[in-house]
Amino acid sequence: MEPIVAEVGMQPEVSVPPEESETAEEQRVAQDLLLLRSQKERAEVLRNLIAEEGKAFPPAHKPKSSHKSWYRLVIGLLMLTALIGTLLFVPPPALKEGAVPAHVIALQEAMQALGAGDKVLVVLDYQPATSREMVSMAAPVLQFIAERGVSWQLLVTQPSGLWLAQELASTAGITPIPEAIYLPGGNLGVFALAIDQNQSSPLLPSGLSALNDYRAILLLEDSGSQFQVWMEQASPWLGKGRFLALVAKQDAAMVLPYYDSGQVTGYVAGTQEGALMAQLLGQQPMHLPHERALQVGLIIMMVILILSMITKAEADATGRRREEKT
Amino acid sequence: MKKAIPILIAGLSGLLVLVALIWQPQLAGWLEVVLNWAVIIASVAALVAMATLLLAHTRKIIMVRHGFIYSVILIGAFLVSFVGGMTAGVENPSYLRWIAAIQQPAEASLLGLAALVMAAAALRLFHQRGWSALTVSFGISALVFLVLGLGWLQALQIPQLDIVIGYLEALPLVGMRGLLIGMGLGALLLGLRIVLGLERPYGE
Amino acid sequence: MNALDVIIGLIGFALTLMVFSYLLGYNFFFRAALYLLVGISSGYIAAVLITKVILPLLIAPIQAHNGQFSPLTVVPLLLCLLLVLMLFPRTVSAGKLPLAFLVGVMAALTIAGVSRGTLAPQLLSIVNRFSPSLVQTDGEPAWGQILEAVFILLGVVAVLFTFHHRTHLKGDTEARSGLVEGLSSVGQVFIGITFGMLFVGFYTTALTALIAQLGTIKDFILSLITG
Repeated sequence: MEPIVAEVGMQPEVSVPPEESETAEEQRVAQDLLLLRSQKERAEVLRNLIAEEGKAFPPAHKPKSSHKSWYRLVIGLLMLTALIGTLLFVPPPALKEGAVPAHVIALQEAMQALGAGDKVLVVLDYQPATSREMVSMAAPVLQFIAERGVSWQLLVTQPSGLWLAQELASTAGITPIPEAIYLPGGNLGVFALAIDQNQSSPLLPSGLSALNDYRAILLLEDSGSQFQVWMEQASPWLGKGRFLALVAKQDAAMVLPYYDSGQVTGYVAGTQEGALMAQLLGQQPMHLPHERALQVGLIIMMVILILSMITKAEADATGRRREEKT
Repeated sequence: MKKAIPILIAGLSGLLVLVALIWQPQLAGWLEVVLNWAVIIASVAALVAMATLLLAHTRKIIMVRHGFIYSVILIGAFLVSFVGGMTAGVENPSYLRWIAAIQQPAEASLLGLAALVMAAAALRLFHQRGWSALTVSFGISALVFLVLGLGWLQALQIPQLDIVIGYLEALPLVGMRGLLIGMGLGALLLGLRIVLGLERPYGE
Repeated sequence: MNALDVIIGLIGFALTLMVFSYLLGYNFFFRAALYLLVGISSGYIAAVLITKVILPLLIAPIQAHNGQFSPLTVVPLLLCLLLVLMLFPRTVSAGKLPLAFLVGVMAALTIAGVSRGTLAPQLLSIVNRFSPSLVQTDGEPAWGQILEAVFILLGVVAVLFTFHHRTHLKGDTEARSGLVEGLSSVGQVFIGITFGMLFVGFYTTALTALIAQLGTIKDFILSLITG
């Protein structure tokens, strides 16, 4: 049953805890760490693709599990220390103006084309884990929409969306907080909403217009597969130029082909582009997260990847020298 | 005969939806009914899955099996949140505040933990995967996108550099499009096999 | 900061520490946090499904007919009852019928959605790059556009070939032609570039969540100290 439940998007956002029979630590760890839906999806896709790729190559070296927790602890603690130190002692930098990517300009133009009397549907389709990133992108955009006098509604597709909508509206300083309309059924619900032009389906919540009545549909997404659901189940019925998107950085690659094909008019991915967008719309960007800490985290990953390459090259060279000697 | 009924139902329901999609708006009413039923069944399926989980953990508590304390936590938390939602209402701001108080920090911390674990795993990445066109291009691409993520190059505001950055950021479009088409073809074939009864994910 | 804010802040702080304790190994605190999250989330989702789906879509229509059954209300009710029978070991197979119905509907939606929402637009997008209006400027060939179109076409073909190549030549150790190897390597390079962006994207999102959570804890502790 689980695959079907997962397919319709109505599964709990967390996986079932491991059963007692699973004794291998690796199995338990993998299950527990892939707790969030988006994490699980992304890891699954990457694992399948990498596994598929790996088959034609010599078998990969098995990791030494005994060293695993040691590495994890040292690197984890080092990284935590660096991030906490930056948060405590380094002030966040002033916002700098930089080059604006084409997809951000496209979104800005679409937003500025909206005027009083236009209807916009804001679809809140993200999870609590990414809410800080999503709120920092979405709050200035919602403030702009509210200032323009655009009529907008908030649709949520996940149960946790009911409280995430309140959090988003209160962060954006929008009063009164608009009622969040819950759309059940995952991709079934999205499809039903897209094809229902005369609002006759009992599935559709009251207060919601037919999708064609909205000048724009603004997707707030943190899951590539959910973004794909909107593109596959709704966009073919609505024609081009309707969808705008604010997506978590992890979905930037997924949105690229849909933007290039014109199914998405414009989008913003991640907090940096979100801050640029806020500036373009004349709004105050939100300072979340601490940008210096983010830079420290990115530099740590760069150093680790370079170290990984160097140590591998060193190990290969040592192996070759040994072979030559023997 | 018994085995044939689910295959027939899957095929007929799939065909009905496909036919209704082609003959719009004549069959729109039927499509609405089918979708309505499907959403209800999907919701009940999710509830049955949760009930199965609760039954398994209740058995664990009753039999005092190893690790039963976790089952106590799970069932206790479930009851508190379920009863709270049914009595106060799932849109009650106070109730939602308590749900948010647990879900928000726990899920954000788990996602944050993933960053720490990824950093630890990256250290042994090339030792585990070896050198290949895939791993080398992955490594270089990751380094380039990490540098771009810092935002320092963009802040220089050199027009020629901005053009190069624009091309670099659009480069994954090719791979992503290829992957999307590949996965789309796979999903299409799987869907056709289910409608034709050649694939039975609902059980033999 | 009132008492409720302090309690909620403390819960968040404790849960964060419990989750990060995973760095020390798979321990009691980490597991307790996971089970707590699963329990709370499941209970909440169950309550939402019952109040937002089951009651209005399944029960209310029956009540609206004053208890008189119409086929439109009876069929989903029967299918749901069959699903509930899956809870009992002896009647597990009864659930196959509603699941088969659901799978059939989902498969049809996948066929329609993938073909119209992904395959057709993505393939058309490749073809459209060769349209005369794009590859010509004032009757002269626009070489930049032509090169870009050819680059994307070849890249996508190479990625698809790599897919096909891996699937159909699993375990094939025979020597392959230079062209096959070359095309496969080009496909791997494009896939590697995309994976690189996906990796950095996911890491950045996770890092953002981590920094935001640490920032929340810092603010909470500071507000406790300063009162």
